[in-house]
Amino acid sequence: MKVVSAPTSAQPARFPWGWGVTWQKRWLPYLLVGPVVLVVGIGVFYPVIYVVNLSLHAYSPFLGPTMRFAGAANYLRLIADAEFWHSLQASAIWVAGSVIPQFLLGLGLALLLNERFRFRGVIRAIVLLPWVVSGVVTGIIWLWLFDGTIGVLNDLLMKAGLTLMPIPWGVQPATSFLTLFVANAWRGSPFFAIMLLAALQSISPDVYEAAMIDGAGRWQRFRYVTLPLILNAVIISTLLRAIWTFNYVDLIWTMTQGGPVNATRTLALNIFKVAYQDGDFGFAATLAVALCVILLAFSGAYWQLNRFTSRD
Amino acid sequence: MGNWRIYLPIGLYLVFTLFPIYWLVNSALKPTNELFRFPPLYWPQHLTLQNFTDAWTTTRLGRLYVNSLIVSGLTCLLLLALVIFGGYGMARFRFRGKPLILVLFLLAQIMPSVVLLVPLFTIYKHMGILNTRMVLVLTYTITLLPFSVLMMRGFFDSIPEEMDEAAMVDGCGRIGALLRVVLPSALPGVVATTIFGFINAWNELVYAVIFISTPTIQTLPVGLASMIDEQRTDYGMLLAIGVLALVPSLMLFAYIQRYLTQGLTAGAVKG
Repeated sequence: MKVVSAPTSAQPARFPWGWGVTWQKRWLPYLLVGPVVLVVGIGVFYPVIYVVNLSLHAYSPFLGPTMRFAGAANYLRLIADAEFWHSLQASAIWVAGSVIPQFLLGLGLALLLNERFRFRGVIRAIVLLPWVVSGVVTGIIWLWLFDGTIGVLNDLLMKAGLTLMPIPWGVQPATSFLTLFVANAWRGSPFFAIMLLAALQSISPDVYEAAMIDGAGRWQRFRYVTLPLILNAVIISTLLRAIWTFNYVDLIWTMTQGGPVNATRTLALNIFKVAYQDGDFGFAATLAVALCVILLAFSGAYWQLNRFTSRD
Repeated sequence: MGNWRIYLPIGLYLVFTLFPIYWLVNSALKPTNELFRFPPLYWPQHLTLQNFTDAWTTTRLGRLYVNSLIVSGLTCLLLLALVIFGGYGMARFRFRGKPLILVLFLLAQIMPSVVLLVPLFTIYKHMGILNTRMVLVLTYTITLLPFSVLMMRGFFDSIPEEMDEAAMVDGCGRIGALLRVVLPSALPGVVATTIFGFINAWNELVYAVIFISTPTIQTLPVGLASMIDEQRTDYGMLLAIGVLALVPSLMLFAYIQRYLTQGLTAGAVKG
């Protein structure tokens, strides 16, 4: 009969510093990470449960403290609410018009910054600068640039002969969206540039050398070498950016406040307005739940698409 | 030679990036009669600080600025205390539940502020702590924690574990090794993580608008956003305050621009 005594005899060898180290190995990580997990758990996940609960109540805290159980009333109202459906459309335009140009600009920038040239370090830093500018200040800057009567962009367009009269950007839905897209691209393109640049720099030069020896041209190298190798970064960065843009209200709140006539009132801004201006917290909670469901569905679909395309 | 293919588009993009900031500063330094001229002056003829002094004396700029500094500063301190230990724990130990914690952080990371603001408002109201600066400090700490911990973990990961072991052989405990040996080496990372927290708190609008209604304790972004409505006619002051709001961020940017890649991949900026 073999007695397996090896583990017991190995015990002191594995923990040469004795009991203290065992204790540390087992409990110290929890002591270190515990507070953070607790704060995030209570601070983020309790409110998420709470918001579902709130969505089943009628609650207007600015009017009174009463929270009345309303069952599915808020959800029925949501389905019938034209403003909700319209805000989904505005969100789709806002996300597409923000993410697509930002991605293209960011990719172009990343490809350029991946080349070797003088002052690259300084230029890389400068290009990233708008990224620390707050949504509100970005909004003020671009409102001023796009001013409908005395804005400098109108002057430049007139000097270039592209328009005879100053364009009142804030009046039409299409031009309002345009000002938002440009302002957001100013602030958001660096995100793509830096994420994609990191991916580009992880590609070994040998791969390009091999492709050149095989006679691949500039475009072919990009299409068959670069693109497949940065595809993962592309997917993750566009997904993240789409989610953030979907939720982002600072810029819209500053520049158009959802106008003209609710044209730029996205779902996220709609929640903000229903809570802040109407004080209707029950319904705002319902809209928030809807937003979460849409985010989950969108992320899930995008992820599936990613797996589907990267399988080929 | 052929380099124009790089310099031309880069040059155009630099104009796109820098012109708006130039225009903000340029306009803020113009006297009123030049500010509202059309076609505008591309270089001001009479530089003046009038808009800045007007903003200082006639708006609550001073208060807003101090409030924002207090809120962002305290947020940083609180974050720092949690992040050093949390980040170290995530970097150096393998323990049960760690993958779950990572998922939790990532989920918390993408949780939108417009979803959290309604329940947080209600919870804070029941606790009776609405309308205080502390409520913003608390909220910012909660929402900035996930990315800060992940970022700090990355910095600890880049420091060889042999350093901890050497310190422990020399008689330090784990915590001693962290505080005396590892932390000093990770200091640039700690500073960068803190600055990311500061900038995020400094720029935050949504929670600040809803949780604080007393004008004297509002923060700078809230004050600015409300002035856009109130003072459409006095754009000069608005632009001057915009410049002042930008100053801390730009100064800090000089330091953190080297860490932006780490910051962005950890999710340091949203929106």
